[in-house]
Amino acid sequence: MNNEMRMRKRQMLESLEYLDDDLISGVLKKIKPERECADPVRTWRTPLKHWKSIAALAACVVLLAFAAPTASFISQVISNSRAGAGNNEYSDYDPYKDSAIFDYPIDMSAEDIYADLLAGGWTVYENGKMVAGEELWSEFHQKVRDKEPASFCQAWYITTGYRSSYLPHEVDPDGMPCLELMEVVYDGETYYYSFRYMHPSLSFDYSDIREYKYLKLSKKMNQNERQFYFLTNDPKLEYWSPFYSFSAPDYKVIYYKK
Amino acid sequence: MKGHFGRSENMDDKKIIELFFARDESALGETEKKYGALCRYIASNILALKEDVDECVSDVMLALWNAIPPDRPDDMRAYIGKAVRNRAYAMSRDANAWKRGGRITVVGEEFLAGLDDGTDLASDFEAKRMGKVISDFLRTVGEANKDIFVMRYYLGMSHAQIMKQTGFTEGKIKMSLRRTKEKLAEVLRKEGFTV
Repeated sequence: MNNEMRMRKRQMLESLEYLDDDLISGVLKKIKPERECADPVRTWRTPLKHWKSIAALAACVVLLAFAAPTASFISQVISNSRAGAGNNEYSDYDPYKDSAIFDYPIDMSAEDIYADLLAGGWTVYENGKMVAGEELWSEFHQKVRDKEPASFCQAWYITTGYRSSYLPHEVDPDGMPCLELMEVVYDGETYYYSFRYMHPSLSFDYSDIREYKYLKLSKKMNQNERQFYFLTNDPKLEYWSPFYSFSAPDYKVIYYKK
Repeated sequence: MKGHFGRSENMDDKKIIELFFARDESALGETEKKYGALCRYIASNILALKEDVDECVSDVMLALWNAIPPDRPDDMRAYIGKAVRNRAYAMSRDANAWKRGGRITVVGEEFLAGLDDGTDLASDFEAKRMGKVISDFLRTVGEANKDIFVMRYYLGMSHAQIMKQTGFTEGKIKMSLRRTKEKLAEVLRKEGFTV
């Protein structure tokens, strides 16, 4: 690294010294140095001292107690919407069946998966560019407006790597694809998206429920490397993944419409 | 009101400042009692050796004694925190301290990744302008993302430390940092910085 570059880097880092005081103050107020030293054993032995943690735990227990009835309610909403839609191709739709269709060998090529799905009676919409994704989304919304059952939860994403907007053609930090399962529920007014993210090298998964105006889907099969498809209508793919975004989408899409 | 580590009640900031103005040396003792842990916490994220951390905090205490008065900080915590951070960072740039390690070097490189290609900051003015742009940008990304960004790149905290302070998972922290940096790169481009 030459001196000029070194000086440039230093100046860039120094720009952080000029962050506004109120920003720094706000963060410093939240920092508790004693959290660095807290003894977790002692924490559990002094419940009154850590009432916030106890309250949060109690809230989780309460939420879990309501989770089953809530899931049942959502399921009922879907069933009701299907029942009210009359004769349609979704009358026997079960988003959780046919899980075997995703059980492809790890080393199977994307093209072979694609061909196999076609042969299996799946309707496949090939999407080489984002425009086709938007068309698919418009079709989905049309079905919603027509009050047809419009929840679907599975799609595939195939790529040879993940691209970020500033590191094109990069894979994720460990060189492995990331897998994500997204499920969509539409209750007639709002779309609810839940997703579970799994990355083998990071060894964690999390689930979250958010309300989006669009959908991104992939399928988590297991913790090994996979190839997969996905569907989205977000041209910036801003919410595509926790770890990457795409500037030049190049993928195939399968719309689950069996 | 209990202070950190269950010590006896900490003095109000206004009273501490009055001690400084009265040139009462107990001002330093009270400041150390109330903010010493925070100062060492901030400095230790940037400086690897305990000796350097202690030296940094001592330097800041002396600087406070010389600065107050005439300064009368509105927010003592931010005033001291920023002083410690900047002093620790200045020490880390020192040749000897640099060789002894310190997280700010690694975190600094992480911050620069993807942002510094061809960026030309010809002067301190540009650095200040960039700092202002970054400040304005951080106000738009939401409280959590802002906190994570400042903790990581300004205070040099590790992911594990940020997790302890915020309760966020490591995945969420990494996600937040990456997205925030991507958006920041766009903002800097629009402001005329070559990224």
